[in-house]
Amino acid sequence: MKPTYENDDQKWSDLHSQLQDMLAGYVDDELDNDQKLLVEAHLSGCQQCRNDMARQQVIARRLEVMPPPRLSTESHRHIDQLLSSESISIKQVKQSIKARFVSFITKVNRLSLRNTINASGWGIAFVLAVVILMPTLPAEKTVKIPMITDAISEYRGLEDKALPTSMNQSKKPPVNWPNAHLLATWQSTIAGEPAQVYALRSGRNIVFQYHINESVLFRNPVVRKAIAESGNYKVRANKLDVIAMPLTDAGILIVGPTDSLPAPEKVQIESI
Amino acid sequence: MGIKSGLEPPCIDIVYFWDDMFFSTKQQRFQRLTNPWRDRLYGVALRQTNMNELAEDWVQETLLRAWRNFNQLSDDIAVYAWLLKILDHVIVDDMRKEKRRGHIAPVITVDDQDLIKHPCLSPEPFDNAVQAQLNEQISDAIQNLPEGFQQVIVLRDIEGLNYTEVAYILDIPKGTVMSRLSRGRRLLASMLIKSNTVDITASMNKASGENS
Repeated sequence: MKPTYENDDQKWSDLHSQLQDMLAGYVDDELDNDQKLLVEAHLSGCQQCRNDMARQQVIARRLEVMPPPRLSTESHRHIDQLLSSESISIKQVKQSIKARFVSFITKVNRLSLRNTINASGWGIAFVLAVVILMPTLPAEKTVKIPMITDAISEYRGLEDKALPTSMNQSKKPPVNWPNAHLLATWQSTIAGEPAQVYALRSGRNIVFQYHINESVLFRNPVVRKAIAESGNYKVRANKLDVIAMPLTDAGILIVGPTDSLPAPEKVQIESI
Repeated sequence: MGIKSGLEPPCIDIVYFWDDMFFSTKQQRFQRLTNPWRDRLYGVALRQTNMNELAEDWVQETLLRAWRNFNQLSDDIAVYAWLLKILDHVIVDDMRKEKRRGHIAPVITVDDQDLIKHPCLSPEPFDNAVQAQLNEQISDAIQNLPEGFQQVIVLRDIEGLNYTEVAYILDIPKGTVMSRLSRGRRLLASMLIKSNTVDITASMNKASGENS
């Protein structure tokens, strides 16, 4: 539809009243480019807005040079006093809190100075012991290494069942330690590779020993790193301990209840 | 919002940094940062009241509040803008007590008949008229401006802050700063020429007499 004269007039009038609020922004150069173009287009055809803009410029220039009033020296001094008394009162509060804390500590010390020292001595010893022993304890964590999870699940699966009876006495476990007796041995699968399992009685516990493929043993970088650093990899999961260690050209996994496994340094590795 | 602008001399920052690190107490740091702005705070306060003592009270209260909340001042806020914001709150609180707020500001448009018909309508006579006004007359006119207009004019035109800073101090959008400033200056223009009509007409006649 072709706009009528009244519509155009109305449009111009709306724009004229809207842009009046932007004239300050134009004078102060605070408009973005689109707004600036819009204002400039309007200014070119509107004498009243041009005059208003000019008056705004005059006012801004005049106010810029207004001399700033100054506080009297006396007022400055008064403010200084106020601020320093305020900061002293804050300091006093802080000091009184500190003083109370110090007197509390002194009282405690006076009451049982010897006990405090003894207790703190034992405390330090305990913390040191924990820190020293920590690395040797296998950490309880979620294990995601296939050979470990396979060994654990087989051990758990056979806990309340009869051990496989297919005994083959000619096969001897690759790793031995005092008070360990072979109960059974059978063929299993660890991490998708064949493995020979030896069930041993070690004291009151049943311990499984897995003779695994070398490539399975060294498949996981965490295990590789641990073996490179300390000769073996230990992990504690699901109330079981697992030790993984290398043989000449194979690997061994030992699985048993927590704290039932022999120290890796003390086992005797049989030649296979 | 980043309000750090040209309000602080940047070259002194490094000196202040070492000073802060090793030598000064919190109180010394506060004084060093705020002392340079005391007079200007007083200036801003005095534009909003004609009572010197009230303006001094406002400045004192502002500095006390600033000291209590000194830890709120962060690196991206200019000290002066931060102080002005506190001053604005102090004034608002005080005004609210006195129930002096809530006046409806008159809206004046560029089509205002007084502005159009006035002999100082066109830019040049208006410029002459305004330049001829004494500082006291202008101060009076600013003090008589409605509150919302008064603050933006003082902060922008006298204190030279940009729209972002004024918006931060008064807690209003930048667009509102712009519209209040447009209307406020228009109102101020109208007040100035109306108050000075006789003087200006006389000076214009005098000037034309000298020319002829």
